[in-house]
Amino acid sequence: MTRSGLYKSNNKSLLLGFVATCGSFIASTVNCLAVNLTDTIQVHGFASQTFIHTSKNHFFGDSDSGGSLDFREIGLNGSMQITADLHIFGQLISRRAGQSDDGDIQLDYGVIDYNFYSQENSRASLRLGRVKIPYGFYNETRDVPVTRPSVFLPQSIYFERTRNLTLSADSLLFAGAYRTNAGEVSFEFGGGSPNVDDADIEHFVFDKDLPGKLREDISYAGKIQYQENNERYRVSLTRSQLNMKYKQAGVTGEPAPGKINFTPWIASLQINDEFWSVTMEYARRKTSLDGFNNTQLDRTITGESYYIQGRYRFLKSLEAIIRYDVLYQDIEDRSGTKNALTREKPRHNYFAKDWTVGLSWTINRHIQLRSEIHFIDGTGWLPQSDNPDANETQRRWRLFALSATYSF
Amino acid sequence: MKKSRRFKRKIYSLLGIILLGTLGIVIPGIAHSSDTVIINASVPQTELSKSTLQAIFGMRLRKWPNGTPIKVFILSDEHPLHIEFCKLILNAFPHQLKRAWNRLVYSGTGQAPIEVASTEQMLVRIATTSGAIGYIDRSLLNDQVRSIQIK
Repeated sequence: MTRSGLYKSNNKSLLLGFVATCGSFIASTVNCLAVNLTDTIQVHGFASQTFIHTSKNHFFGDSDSGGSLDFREIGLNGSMQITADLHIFGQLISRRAGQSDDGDIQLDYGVIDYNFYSQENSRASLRLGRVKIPYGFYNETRDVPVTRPSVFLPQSIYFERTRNLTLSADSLLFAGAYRTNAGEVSFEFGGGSPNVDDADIEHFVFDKDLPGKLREDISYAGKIQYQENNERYRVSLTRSQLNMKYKQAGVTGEPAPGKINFTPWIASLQINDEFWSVTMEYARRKTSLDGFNNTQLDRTITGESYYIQGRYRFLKSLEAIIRYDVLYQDIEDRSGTKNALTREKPRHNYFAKDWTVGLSWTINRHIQLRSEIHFIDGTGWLPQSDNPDANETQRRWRLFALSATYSF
Repeated sequence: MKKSRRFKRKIYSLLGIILLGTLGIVIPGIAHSSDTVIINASVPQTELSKSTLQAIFGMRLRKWPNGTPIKVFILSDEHPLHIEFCKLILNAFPHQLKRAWNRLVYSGTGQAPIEVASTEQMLVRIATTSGAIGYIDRSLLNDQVRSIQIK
């Protein structure tokens, strides 16, 4: 179901042990070793546990019967400055999320970063390895609770079904930036191979699990961003093209080995002030299937997503959030009526509208508690793996989440 | 008559002096914080533009023009000097800077600044770390570190 893990058994205790060892190592290093070592090496990490309760439908486990504790995120990252121009970065993540992620330790990113040009106002670098795919404001840190505005990111854009596809890719990325007195323009462009070996992606692409497998083709992503030097305004535009091909299993009656192009673009805007912050993102996703010699499969479908989100800090440690988040699987059929007829799934499977209100309480520099409630109409982003039969899902449902995060 | 006019004039000029005096104290108090940016003596720069300083503390600029890696030192988020430095010198907010550092650290695109526990430690680390930059209350400046002008 998920990417192959580095370790199959006992992974959580292993990672926790690793976190503890690193913690004590750092503590002792700070106390007795030369400052040079700690000035070039940094280690950070987090562990988070979430309780989820849904009125109907399953979100990360059996969430509608008494609640689910099946959402746990643990991560550890390290970075090292080798020379002024050469850095290495790496992060391991264990994520347990209902049926879609089993908690295996994954290499989230592992990058060699070479800064080949650097002036006071401009710089350029090459990044090689497993690189986080630039996509909107949050994709690169989507599994890190402290970087999210709420327990769950707006699901219309950062949904579970294609997460492995947009997570990270083994690739080469070029990054550059130019700064003026007002702000900085930066861009990233990369090509590589994403991870597509995942049943949820097949459901997203084909609307069902086919006998064969999806294989990656060379894919591209590019992002351009402008932000004021104090980050009061941030705007960005991301465009990516993810290419896949279908590898037949060799059974009779199977579709021909066709190609799939997934081409999303996303526009993002954020305005920050001392007490409040407003974020908006709008995305369009075109999925083209071609060469399957099957009228049900060969088609082009465009999905649309957007949200508007406000955050308000009314005390130094307390922040409230409100968000309205919308997803349409097919812009030519926003109500899902046509798709429901041809694909034998309920109409509400093709859209989702989600009102979220939540609170974050930062208890101290290491511990944060969060709680939120979602009022949802539609199941457009509900993980397929937690809800195998779309006809058993309910259109109107609520989701409550409570999470505790430790980070250092 | 004459007496009262002279008295009035005296009162007005007194008020005027008080007013000007207050402005004289208040205005510099608003325009300049008591913080000053300090650097290790090895850094050749004598002045920095505000936008360069913002890029340095945003952890986006990694080395000085002479090639030395930039080492950024900060006090904790809660420290009054850190809050004042962020607001008055960087024109940013501490929680916003923290978010930017988290984005770098957790996406594998940069490092966080090095946090020190006290102003004494800040002075020691800036004095002993090549390429270091930090900030301190002007009254605590010593000859081990160099204060740098922000344009």
